[in-house]
Amino acid sequence: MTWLPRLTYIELRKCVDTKSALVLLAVIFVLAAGFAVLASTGEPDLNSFVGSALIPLPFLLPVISALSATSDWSQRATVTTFSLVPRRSRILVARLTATVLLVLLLASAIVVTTMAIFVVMHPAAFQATDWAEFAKTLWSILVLAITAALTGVAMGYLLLIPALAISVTLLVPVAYEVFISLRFPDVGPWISSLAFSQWLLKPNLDWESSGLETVGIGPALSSLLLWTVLPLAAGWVRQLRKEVK
Amino acid sequence: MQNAVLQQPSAKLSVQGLTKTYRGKTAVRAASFDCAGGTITGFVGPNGSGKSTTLRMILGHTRADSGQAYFDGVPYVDLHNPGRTVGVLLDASAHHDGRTVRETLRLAALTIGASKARTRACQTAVGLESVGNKRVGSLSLGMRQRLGIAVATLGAPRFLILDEPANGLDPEGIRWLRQLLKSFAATGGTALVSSHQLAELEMVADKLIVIDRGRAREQEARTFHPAHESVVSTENDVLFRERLTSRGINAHANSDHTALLVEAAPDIVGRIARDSTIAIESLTSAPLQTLEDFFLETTSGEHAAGDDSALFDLLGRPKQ
Repeated sequence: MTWLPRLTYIELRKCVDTKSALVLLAVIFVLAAGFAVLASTGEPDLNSFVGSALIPLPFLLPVISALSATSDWSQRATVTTFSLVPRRSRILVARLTATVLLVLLLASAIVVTTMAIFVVMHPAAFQATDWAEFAKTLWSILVLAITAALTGVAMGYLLLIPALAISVTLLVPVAYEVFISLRFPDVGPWISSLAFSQWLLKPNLDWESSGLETVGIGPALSSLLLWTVLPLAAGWVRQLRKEVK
Repeated sequence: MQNAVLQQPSAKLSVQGLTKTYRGKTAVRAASFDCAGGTITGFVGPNGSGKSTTLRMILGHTRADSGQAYFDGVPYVDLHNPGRTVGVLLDASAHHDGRTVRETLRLAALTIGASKARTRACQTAVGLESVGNKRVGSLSLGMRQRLGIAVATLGAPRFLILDEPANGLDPEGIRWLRQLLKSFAATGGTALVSSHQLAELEMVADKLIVIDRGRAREQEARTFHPAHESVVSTENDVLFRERLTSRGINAHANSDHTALLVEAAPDIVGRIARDSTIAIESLTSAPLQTLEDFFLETTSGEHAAGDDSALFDLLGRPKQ
């Protein structure tokens, strides 16, 4: 397994070594920090401040992960990649690991920066922070980042075309909220793309969902299977078999 | 297995019965050939003949329906660190346009474990030292080929698999590539090089694999002797042809009936003309066939263009 850290480093490097990738990361970073500043109200509080930075992340992080999963294919760089590493599974493992790391690094950078901004803007309110509550905020950021990375990579692996992968990843949750959950309230919770991350935010041992707030284990697993495991597995097989040219 | 590999005296590529069918249409039919160590093998065939498909099957980029290729007895996908054994250039555009030349080389070097010094040496050797900070997308085709050759040679491989490496190269680059291949073979390396630049290939190849409509066959390089040895025109070609035939010498008229192509040397043809009292108007020895003549005679490209008049219809007839 000595190949794993080496290939992960290379895949991580490939996520940040082009101008367009750096610009995209910078834009996301600035947007998230900007959201925090704009959403800050008269009564400053670290939790809501850092929490506001979260708002744009569900839309921005999948873009990063879908891009990093597809850019090799869209640029025909796969010919070189798979010539040097013909055991394609190794590349797929490394790319998945690198993407999760990248998204975590970005999320951490956003948290640290927004905290720093908060300290500068409201030093007094920083002292009064409820740290137990803050830990919950961090946990939700972590959940969001990891599930965004996984769904983005899964769709990217399956579809292999950046624009397609990004739009599907972004449109599916919206389409779900607008159509499915309203039309089919019974089936809805089981095929929601967000159920898994909602469950992680509020873990509980009930099988079925109760009400709108609490998601049960059943729908959470079904969501994980449907929107992450299945596309990832199908995409994996597709990339192992696909003709590289 | 490892020991058996190490005991091989020289690098040998063995292609055994590679076959690929796309939706019922056979692209490559049981391609089999060997490339010995210390030789350059030219790989030629018309567009759509199955050349690139064969190369992709050799490298595992395309799954063969049947057959396998072995590098010193090991299939490509089972090589421990393939970049150290086989240098590959399949597509000059196989790099991310947004990356710089230096970063592209660095990524390949990290993958195969080539040193920074080796990477710099390869970048300089292909003449890209001054464009290290340029993006790949801004390079010309020739420059991309040079980058591809640099990536292929990073791991100091014993095999080279190059698909159309001379495409887009300037004359200086083509000469450089030729020297690279020759010195590579001289040190025991094995090269398989496809090209449409037949005159160029003729200069370096020890052996040719000609692939036509998915069928590959071997051909010794530089033995393209035409059947006829002389080209002669006389005051009466029909009569002279009879005289030649009666002496057991084959002769037939050329395509526009202006001369006879004779399977005998010019001095013999001259003597027969004197003995037959037929005056010769011109007599030359037949030019040796080039690889291009040979190629055009022996292959039938799937995508062959129509005759000249079809071309003229496209672009307008040339003015007389």
